[in-house]
Amino acid sequence: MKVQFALLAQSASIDRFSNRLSVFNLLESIESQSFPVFIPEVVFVCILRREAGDLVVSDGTLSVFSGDSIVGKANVRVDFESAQHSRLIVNFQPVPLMKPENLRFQLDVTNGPTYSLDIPVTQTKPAPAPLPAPGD
Amino acid sequence: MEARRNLDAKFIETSAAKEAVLYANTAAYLYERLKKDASVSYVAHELSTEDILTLIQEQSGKTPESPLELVRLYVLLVALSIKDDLNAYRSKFEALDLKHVEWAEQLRQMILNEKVPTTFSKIVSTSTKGSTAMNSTTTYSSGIVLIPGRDDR
Repeated sequence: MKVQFALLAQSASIDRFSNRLSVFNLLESIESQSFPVFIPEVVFVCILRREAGDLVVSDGTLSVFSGDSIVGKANVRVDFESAQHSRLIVNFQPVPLMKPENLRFQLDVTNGPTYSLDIPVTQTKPAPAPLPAPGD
Repeated sequence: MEARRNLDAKFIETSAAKEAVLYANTAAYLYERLKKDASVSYVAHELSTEDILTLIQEQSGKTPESPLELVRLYVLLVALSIKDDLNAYRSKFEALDLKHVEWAEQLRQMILNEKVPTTFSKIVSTSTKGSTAMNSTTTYSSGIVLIPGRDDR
């Protein structure tokens, strides 16, 4: 079993009629002026590819880290049924970020791959205070 | 049969569905056209997956006697493509005898091939577990969002 790709987004949807997967607003980095900050919704999307000898169904865990602190965990099941691919979509609401440290989603599948996805989280400088109006 | 009594023929044999069957020159064309038609949504809404499969089983064992019978059969088949729990009935679907109906076998393959297994989980706030079945997979999962500083961690 291999992770074909994985990504983070603000939302994902599957068309009921075509079964096509769409992701909206990819998260490539997170910036905030202050911490802690709560991201209202983060969706982890992962496409796994089955290889010869792989089990049809495997269980695993998806852990979410902010720096070294674990901020979320989900039990996941990868079920290939009779297909070569399987989609794994996990929606976390919310994701707390306590410090400006990398956000990591780590997928551990029993007898399968361990995959980490890191998103940089940075603190931006606060906007400068507005200049006093002339005459003040 | 109860399921059949509940179906209104005028919502299945729509002009668009009849036109799609009449003009179809490939199974793919028929599939795409019927999927967008209200007749398929109607059947999928009114009948359970098991009821649809039972109706198909009853009708597919012989060559359709009229064009309308063929339209009904195609609509029933394509309605399965939008049923979320089809995977639970996959073996029954695969066991259907469809050799008497042109394109029915191809339609079945298209429906089955479209079902990419998907596991969807929603983990909300703290100590909340959730799971949802999407299209072809029914999967259970649980999880937790941990917020540092809270006692329920």
